[in-house]
Amino acid sequence: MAIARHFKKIDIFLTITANPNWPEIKRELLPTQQPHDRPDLIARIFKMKKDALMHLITQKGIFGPCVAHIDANQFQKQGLPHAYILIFLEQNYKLFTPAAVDDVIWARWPDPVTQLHLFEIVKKYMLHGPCGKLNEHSSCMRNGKCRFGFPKAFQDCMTLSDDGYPLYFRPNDGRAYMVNGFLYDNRWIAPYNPFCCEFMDGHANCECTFSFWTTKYINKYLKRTTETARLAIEDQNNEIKQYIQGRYFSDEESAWRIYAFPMHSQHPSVAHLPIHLPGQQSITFHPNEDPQNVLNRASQAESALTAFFAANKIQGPIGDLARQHTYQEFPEHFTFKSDTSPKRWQLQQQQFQLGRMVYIPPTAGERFYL
Amino acid sequence: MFCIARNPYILTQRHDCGRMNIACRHCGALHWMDERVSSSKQSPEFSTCCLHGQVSLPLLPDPPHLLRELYTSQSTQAREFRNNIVLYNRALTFTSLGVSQDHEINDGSGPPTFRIHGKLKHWSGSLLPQEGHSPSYAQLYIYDPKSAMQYHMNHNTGLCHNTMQLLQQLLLDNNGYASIYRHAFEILNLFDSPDYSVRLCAAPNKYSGYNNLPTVDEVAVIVPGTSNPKDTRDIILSRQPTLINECNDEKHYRNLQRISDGHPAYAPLHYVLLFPYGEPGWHWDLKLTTGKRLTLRQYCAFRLHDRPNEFSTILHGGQLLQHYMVDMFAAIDQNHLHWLSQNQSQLRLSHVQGMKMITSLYPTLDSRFFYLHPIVVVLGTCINGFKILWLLPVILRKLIFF
Repeated sequence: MAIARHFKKIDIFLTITANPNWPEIKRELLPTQQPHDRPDLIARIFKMKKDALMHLITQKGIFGPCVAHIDANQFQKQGLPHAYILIFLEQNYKLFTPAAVDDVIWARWPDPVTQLHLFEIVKKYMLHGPCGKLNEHSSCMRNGKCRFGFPKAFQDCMTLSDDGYPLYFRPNDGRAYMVNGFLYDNRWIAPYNPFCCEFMDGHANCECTFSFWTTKYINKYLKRTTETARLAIEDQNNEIKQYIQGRYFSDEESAWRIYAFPMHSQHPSVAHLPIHLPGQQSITFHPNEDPQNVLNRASQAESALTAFFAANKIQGPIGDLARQHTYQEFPEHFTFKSDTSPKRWQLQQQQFQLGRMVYIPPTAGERFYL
Repeated sequence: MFCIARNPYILTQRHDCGRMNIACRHCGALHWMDERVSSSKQSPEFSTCCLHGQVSLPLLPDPPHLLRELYTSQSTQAREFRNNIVLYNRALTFTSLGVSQDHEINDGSGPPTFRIHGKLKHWSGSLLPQEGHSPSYAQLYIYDPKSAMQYHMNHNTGLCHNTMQLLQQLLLDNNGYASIYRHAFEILNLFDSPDYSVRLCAAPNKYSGYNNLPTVDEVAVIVPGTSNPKDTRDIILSRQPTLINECNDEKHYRNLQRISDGHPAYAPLHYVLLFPYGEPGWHWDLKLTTGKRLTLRQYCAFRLHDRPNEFSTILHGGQLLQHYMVDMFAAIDQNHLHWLSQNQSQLRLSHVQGMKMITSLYPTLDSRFFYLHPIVVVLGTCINGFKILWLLPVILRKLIFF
């Protein structure tokens, strides 16, 4: 959320999924094995492919210069890994016009003669359904409707719906092809990006977002890392027990975690800024430590907030710069050095960081007004 | 490459990772070039397999010839074995798996997946069944092979008789735990007393050699005695189920004991077809070459790599490999959480002001009494912080990341 606030608009929301039929997987299977017999290979190859795509997006700028990105990994019901990637582009490259969106996101059949390769991939991976009245038992059906809203209506040009969701260009150009005994036209195609689809050789859904609410919706997606369930909780205060009771995991996730692959990453990083009243900062200590020692230690240690006040008191150019910025903007220009004694804010040398103040409810009284 | 994804369509080649043919120069595990952590392509370094050579473990020995045939051959018998490997393993295992599996996802619409929910435990029973119950699991290794075979086939009617007989004989001949269990039974028969039991201790001192896998005798030492465990990790074997209480003609027995995941026999006792000799698994006292503790995660990551000079029964396991991986990750997770729950009293947090107040009131008290509220601290590195956040009630959403 802090990233979205600073960079104003999420440009591209990309979902990529592992494809168990990738030739890399099939090549390395032991004789007589099927892809699902080797969750370890699937996890490793998906990791490599995702890293390769992230490199192209962030370093080579295939969508334009990328200023920030967030990605999160999840595991489908059948266990296959998939990743959500949010991309923020530089101001001049943001997707503001319908033409720009049409360039990036396609929701139509490619030309089967000139774009044969892409056509085959779309045919294999990017079709949705049939669902709705044609197939009441499809897995996407909720209360008699497709939960993704398929089939979508034809669109002559890209517009926004009333609630801020984009409606992509879906021409009624008469292109419709028979796949598995069903005639799919442009209404049944999930939005995709031609480059990512061909590069990943698998399902790669691509969307763009406009309103703040869609941003929030995506964040909800990102936080729902693994499916969890809550059962009857015997002991309200025992987080560990609650976690064990609520966890669900499959073989693919186990492989991912055993190899210690990261579950999510983001750039730039966000610093958490504590807020407290004088003398209310928290300290950790060992139970056998002498309390006087702990107090001495605490009186010397600065928290991020007290160090911020200290930096504002400094005379000279650093203090001048510090006085120009609010607490929240502070990490963009300074780094909090926790290894120096006393801890202090230093001028930013290399990395750019965003700040996010911890949430204080209005009921917290004096802390809220601070 | 710049802006290539927004310009008019041009044909893009699919990304290809190449072959998995680059051996780690420390442990020989095969990798793809893209997995290297160093920038050099001439001398690539990898970290997932052995942490730059820090994890140095003996390789798994070649399985018995007949078992190897079953894992690799194309014959009908071998294919039937691989399709039902989970059932064969369940019939022949020493310990039972206590877990709630999510059966909903295996509805036939996709490939088989093993997904679990909640805690995962291994249970071990007494050496003789309770009166009126038919023998199961380890008890069948005590029975004579013929009647044991009869029980196996009665429980699993769909399985192939020949394969089951072959596997049973193979394990009786090769698996070290089969003889240990029989030996323990003989000892228990000598001392015919209900509370006399035998403990299988892990002997960490003998289990430090890196060149050879230790034999089962070196790992599990039989210690006879009454059931008074010194180390909670020991596996306790008793002849009859222990009687807990008796009221109104109803006898309540405690017939299952939970096996600690820190015992080297934890995995081999259950996954008998992956570890046909009873090759010992991870143990608390295993060390990295740097002298630090080797974690269970590092141990599993080392085992889960193809090596050209090793026939890995684990990676041939198919669906049993899925079970093994989920089991091991559950143990890893449970280990983390166990540490946290055991060390709650060591993790203290307070406000400076509260501390000052208490010191001024009780200047002589030990600091261990100064905590305002006991909170459960979750290590940010161990679990996905986001996930915990959504699990907790609002009041408890106090997370401290180390």
